[in-house]
Amino acid sequence: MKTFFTAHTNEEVKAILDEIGARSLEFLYWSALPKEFAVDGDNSWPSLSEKEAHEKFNSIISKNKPIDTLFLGGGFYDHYVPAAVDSIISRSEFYTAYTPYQPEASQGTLKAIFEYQSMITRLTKMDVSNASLYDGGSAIFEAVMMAWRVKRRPAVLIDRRLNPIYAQMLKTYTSSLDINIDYASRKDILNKDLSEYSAVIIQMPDFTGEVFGLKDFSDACHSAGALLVQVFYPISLGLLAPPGDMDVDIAVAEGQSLGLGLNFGGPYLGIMAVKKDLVRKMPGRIVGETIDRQGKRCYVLTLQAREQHIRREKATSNVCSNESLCAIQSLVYASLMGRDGLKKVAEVSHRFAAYAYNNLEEMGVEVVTRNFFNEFAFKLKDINAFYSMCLSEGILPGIRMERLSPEYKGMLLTAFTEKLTKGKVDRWLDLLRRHIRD
Amino acid sequence: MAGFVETPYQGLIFNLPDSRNGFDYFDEDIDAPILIDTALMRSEPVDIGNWDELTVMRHFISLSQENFSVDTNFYPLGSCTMKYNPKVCESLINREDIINTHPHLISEGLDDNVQGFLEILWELEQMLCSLTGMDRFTFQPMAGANGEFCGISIISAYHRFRGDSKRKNIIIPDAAHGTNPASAVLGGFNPLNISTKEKGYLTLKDITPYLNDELAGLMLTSPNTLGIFNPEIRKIADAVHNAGGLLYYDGANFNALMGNVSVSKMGFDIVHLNLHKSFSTPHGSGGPGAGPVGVVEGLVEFLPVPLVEKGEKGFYLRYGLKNSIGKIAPFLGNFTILLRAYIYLLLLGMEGCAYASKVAVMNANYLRMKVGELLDIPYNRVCAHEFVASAEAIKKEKGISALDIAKGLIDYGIHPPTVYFPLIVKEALMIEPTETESRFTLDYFVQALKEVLSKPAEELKSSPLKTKISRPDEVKAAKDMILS
Repeated sequence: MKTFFTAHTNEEVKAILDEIGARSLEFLYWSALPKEFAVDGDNSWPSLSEKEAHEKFNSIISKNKPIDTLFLGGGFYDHYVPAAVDSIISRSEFYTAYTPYQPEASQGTLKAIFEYQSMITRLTKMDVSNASLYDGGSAIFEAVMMAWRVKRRPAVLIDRRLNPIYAQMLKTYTSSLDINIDYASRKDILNKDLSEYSAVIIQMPDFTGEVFGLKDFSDACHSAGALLVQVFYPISLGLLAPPGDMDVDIAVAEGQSLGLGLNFGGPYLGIMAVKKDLVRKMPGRIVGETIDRQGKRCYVLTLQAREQHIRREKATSNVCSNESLCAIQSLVYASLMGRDGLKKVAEVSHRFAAYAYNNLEEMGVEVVTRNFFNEFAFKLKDINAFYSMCLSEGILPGIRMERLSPEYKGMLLTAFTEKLTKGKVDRWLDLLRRHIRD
Repeated sequence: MAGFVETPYQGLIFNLPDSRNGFDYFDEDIDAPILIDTALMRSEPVDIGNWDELTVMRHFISLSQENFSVDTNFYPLGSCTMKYNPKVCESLINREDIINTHPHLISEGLDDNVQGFLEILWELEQMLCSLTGMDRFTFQPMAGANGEFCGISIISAYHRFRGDSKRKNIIIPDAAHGTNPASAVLGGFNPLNISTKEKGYLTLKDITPYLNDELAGLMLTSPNTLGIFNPEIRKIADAVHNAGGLLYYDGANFNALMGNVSVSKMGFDIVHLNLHKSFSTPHGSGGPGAGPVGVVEGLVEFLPVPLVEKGEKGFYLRYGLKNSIGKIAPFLGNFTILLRAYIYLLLLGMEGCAYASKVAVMNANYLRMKVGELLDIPYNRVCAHEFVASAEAIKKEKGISALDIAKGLIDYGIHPPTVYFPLIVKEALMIEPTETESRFTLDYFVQALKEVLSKPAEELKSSPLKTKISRPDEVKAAKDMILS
């Protein structure tokens, strides 16, 4: 009989049962659990050997039809991940460890998370980062809740150019709560009375890839007693002004671009960093520095009185876990890239976009995005024709934005990263030229 | 443990001096100007060092050596199910065509390009349905608490759809995980905290006063955190249903049922499963996990979209659920975690799930018996996958608290049990050995516990003694707030 990852031999099982005083494994189990609720055996599936499982898994995966998706962004970006990242996060001591509730047995994780928090504050120039949340979308929701707790105004105002996926998530997450989620254009946000809102939420670069300053928005928010939340793109901060320099109060992001890979949708990383005076209202785990009894510097989970396992229904959030391993992964990535590498990734990504943009201008294509980082939206009369042509050549030219929200009708969103080559971008441009010519 | 000699690589990475940074990761294959307005640009580079790859490796590998982990230490951590994570579940997913697959293939509707992925999700869903008796699952919830929130949102949507706006109360026993009441609040509900101290489990009598038209539902795990299966569950379920409420099963303790006991037969309508517990995906130092949510037929229309369907031409994603709560995750949840659980379930089969669960129950009872010779076990009966011991008596007698025992065990290379939870037992130590531990390890734990309890209290107060650091000053951490 197979072991199913149990350790005892049949003799040992028998010996243990004897000591407990149980006739059999079946007898013991059904003394603790009621047989009347036993599962129906009719939908079972067989156990495979490791070799069989290996073959089955690979054969199912091979049914995928790979396609070149290097031009896809829309909040999730294909940046190059150095091999050393995987080597480190594949250490059992990180990936099979539990949450570091026992600091004496978890200094490795605690130090790494403390460094992650430091890396995020240095990247964003915000005061405090938590130990991470699930993903970018849930981080935006947590920012909404946090602003509500701080300002006690049951409404937030959001720039219409938030990634529609996050707008949908936010709608779901707030559907049972007495909070209004209003959307407006950036122009209208600046003209509105903001005093009824606890926060204004702006994604920058926005969903079309547009880059702009936030100082006007932070001034407007603060004079009306509201908070400014920026949804940022971590890699862009190698080049763009960080949230902390624009007086942003809460900065949140999807951290996937920091060395996580795309993974067909997850696991990802929710980043949240805030101004110091907001820290006690922040959700999620936080690691702090302290000393042990010998005065030696060490790290612990701190400010736990905010959390669900202490406060239960009065907690700042229901969040229990963070995405520790993903946070460590992003830290390792940033460490390998270093100060110069973070700048270079951002610069090269931008230069590819700039090269393509100049070509589009020459072609007379209507580019919607004025100032961009590594991604821009453009309009074509027959977007589907261009899309199909690229698809038949084995590449995806970008994201058809109207599939996510009707307000982006006829627009394609194309992203560029350092993983591209000039040859690939030229091929994409050739296809576009051919489409325009035909 | 390595890391036994102090090296300069063990300190914070920011204190390591600059060296040549790993600049060879990609080429700069483009010559184009930067088109961003200077006013929008960062004025100085990110304030971190440039480090060579070997220095970065030494730093992080040194940090890893300051951790306990399942692959190095026993974790009898109650309600956390710290079982072994089979290595094949890791190695198979480490493929470029998984890591580099862009999730917007989903929003682009290119289901044809990801047939393999969809087939796996579909098969995994069938497996979870077989195990629980539920009709459909969503894979979107990114953790257990996120699954609770998803389930609570479904309860809310269900009552809203029926125009039943008075239903605001959710019954939650006091032994429940803290996420339960916190999730209920996020769903707009009022959690009713019900004491279960008398029997050790929730009874029909306990909930009878709340069976009215304000009841939205009940959240429960059975077996509960005391490892006791609720003998009244079917009566409770019928009573809640008759009052118009729904029943939510917190699957945190599902390892006790896996392959043997059906959640739907107990009368539950909604369940979340922690794949990082029962289905052996790694805990990752505190995440990422995955918390898929299953529902009975009548609630399928409320699930998040899309769902994976099998059609004549293959697998596809379906969006048209008329009362869907929307989106819990940007795409299909923590996908590579789902793949690990799928491989684990391929290896076990239904039969292996049932066997593993039974051995988990046997190991727990073996420890309950052995630990019972050393400490009090307040609700002492045949337990499921875990049990709770109490240090209350030994604290009175010798001054040894649950915390002291926990810290003392660390010196034996054992991760402490869950302490001070559930709240209904004083000086609680919640112990869950799981099925993957050998008798050698279980006996070693008992021996270690025995030695810890025989130590003078003063010595234990300063334990652990063999770790790199002693007990940290947590009050100072909260006061100083040095967080970066």
